[in-house]
Amino acid sequence: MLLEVNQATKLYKRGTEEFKAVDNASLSLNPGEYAVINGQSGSGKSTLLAIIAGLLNLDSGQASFDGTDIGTLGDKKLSALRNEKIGFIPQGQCLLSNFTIIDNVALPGLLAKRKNSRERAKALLDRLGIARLANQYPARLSGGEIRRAAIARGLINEPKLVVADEPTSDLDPANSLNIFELFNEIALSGAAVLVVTHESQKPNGCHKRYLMNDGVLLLES
Amino acid sequence: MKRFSLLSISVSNITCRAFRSGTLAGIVFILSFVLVCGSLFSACLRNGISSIDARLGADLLLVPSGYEQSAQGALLRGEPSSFYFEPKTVQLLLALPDVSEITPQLFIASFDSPHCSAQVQMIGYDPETDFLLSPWLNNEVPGGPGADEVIVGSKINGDVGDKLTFFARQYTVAGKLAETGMGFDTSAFVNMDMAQVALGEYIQLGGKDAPEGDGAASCIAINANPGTNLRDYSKNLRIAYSQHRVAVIETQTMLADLSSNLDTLLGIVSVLAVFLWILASTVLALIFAMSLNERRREFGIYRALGVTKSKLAAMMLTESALLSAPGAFLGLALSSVLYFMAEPLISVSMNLPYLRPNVQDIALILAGGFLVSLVTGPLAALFSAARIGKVSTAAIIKEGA
Ligand SMILES: Nc1ncnc2c1ncn2[C@@H]1O[C@H](COP(=O)(O)OP(=O)(O)OP(=O)(O)O)[C@@H](O)[C@H]1O
Ligand SMILES: [Mg+2]
Repeated sequence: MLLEVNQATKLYKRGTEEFKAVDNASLSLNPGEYAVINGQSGSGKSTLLAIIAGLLNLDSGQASFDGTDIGTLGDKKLSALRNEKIGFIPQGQCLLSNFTIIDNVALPGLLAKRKNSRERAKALLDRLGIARLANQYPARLSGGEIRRAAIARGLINEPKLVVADEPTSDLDPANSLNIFELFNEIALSGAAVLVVTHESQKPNGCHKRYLMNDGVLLLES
Repeated sequence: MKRFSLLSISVSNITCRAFRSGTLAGIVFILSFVLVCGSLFSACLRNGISSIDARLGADLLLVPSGYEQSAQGALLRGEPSSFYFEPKTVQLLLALPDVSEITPQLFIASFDSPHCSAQVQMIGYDPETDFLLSPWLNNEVPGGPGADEVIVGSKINGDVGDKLTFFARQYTVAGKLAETGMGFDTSAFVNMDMAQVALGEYIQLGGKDAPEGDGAASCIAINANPGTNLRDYSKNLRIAYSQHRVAVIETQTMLADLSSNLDTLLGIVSVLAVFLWILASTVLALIFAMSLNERRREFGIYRALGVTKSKLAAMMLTESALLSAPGAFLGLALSSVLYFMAEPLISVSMNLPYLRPNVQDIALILAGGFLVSLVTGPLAALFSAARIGKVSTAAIIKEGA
């Protein structure tokens, strides 16, 4: 098992009142497995992804990656894990506006001190059909182009797990289809893929679908 | 970007926010400018006082009553003045009991006329009995100036060997003194015999208020016997010689007055400097806090890509240091240039002794002002830097959070 979340609960405070943004959620993914999470806005999907990426601490339960309980790791090890093994594609516009597209995509590679990061970034942009935009700044790009660049950045270090938060929210159906097709390819190449989406249809190649409702996660049979 | 480095990212962050960067650098610039100027100014004043302290080695100065202010003005600021004891009063005073050292001095203000090459205070002293000037003048000219010789203060035009005219007589410059920050800088020193001759010529050329005959003096400096109570001694002196119109200046009291004036002034300067520092730090801290708020999302993205909290904090501190450095440097450069350009003006308009410290002290002041300004930026950013980790995580979950 690559990713295993076990009865995870995350409490948030709203005013003085505490509530469970993630309520006793369990989830597992094998390498090469492709899963999606559906759920209403505010149901806790992004919070769950942040837990998986080691950005948030759990109040109870545990999450482990490759057999390691990520709750036991310090910031340095967690950051390295996030950088090298998890391709995290946050919700919304998530490129750094003062860097060009190619620099944005290469950044995690440079951070990991991997060689040829720029060459690999170039190849990824090529594969995603936006190589001609390599030297543009994000402000000049359309929503779909930004999204593809963010996905390219998530893939630069050849992660074992790709996590994407609503990667198609601002895209037209054709572009959305394209992107889900890309995730399918990534899964086929051996990485686990977890995508939060509002698309009601199960994408092509997807192995399992979770439903999230008020913090509670259900696996659709 | 070839490598991911704190420096390259920080530089990019700075250049893409020109206005904010300019404001931050500007604040540090003002801070550095004021700190450096203020410290230089203070150091020069302090140095002036200690120079006087070192050179006014007499317990008491006797001057004709009514001329106490003129005497101080002549000593401290070189304001040319002429005032005299009659020769018979001088004889009387030189025979005072209970003194270990006693010596007369004669001040003659030169004219603004073709008979004098410069407007200076001529000071005649008696190398035989002198204990005030000799230790210091003898460094320049052992044994003191001879006939038709003069030792000049640092601000008088003329070098060793040059000829200068005072009261229609030519003197050879036998020595030139180092700067003192006192009236001595614009004084010309001759021996007492020459001074008596000069006084005669002064009277012939129309100089006023001077007594006829040999042996006049302007001031008599006294070191009392060790263990003497100076208060009582000067009080008795005043009473005993009241009909001879003798005023007594206690130099320690004069210096203490001067120091307390100076302390008040420097106190104000320090309070202003500290106030400015606090103000600048607060404004900088606010700007960094605002900037942190505005950049939460950006920092959140770095976190999502695997940048550690401490690296992000270091990034913010690096940015603040990179912004402070040019500001602090510009402030340092401009204040030094302005200061040294305006120094003659300042030293003249100040009513306090004023002397530039030596090069090492100046270098120390410049380095200190620069460093304080330089670290103020990162110091102000510290609080915001410590909060990056906390603030950025929430921002990555939701766009626009
Ligand atoms: N830092 C926080 N403090 C308190 N409450 C929070 C915090 N972050 C999120 N929440 C709340 O937790 C709940 C879950 O938020 P989350 O962003 O995970 O939802 P989501 O399912 O991703 O929604 P969306 O589909 O709109 O992105 C929401 O009700 C949100 O208001
Ligand atoms: Mg969300």
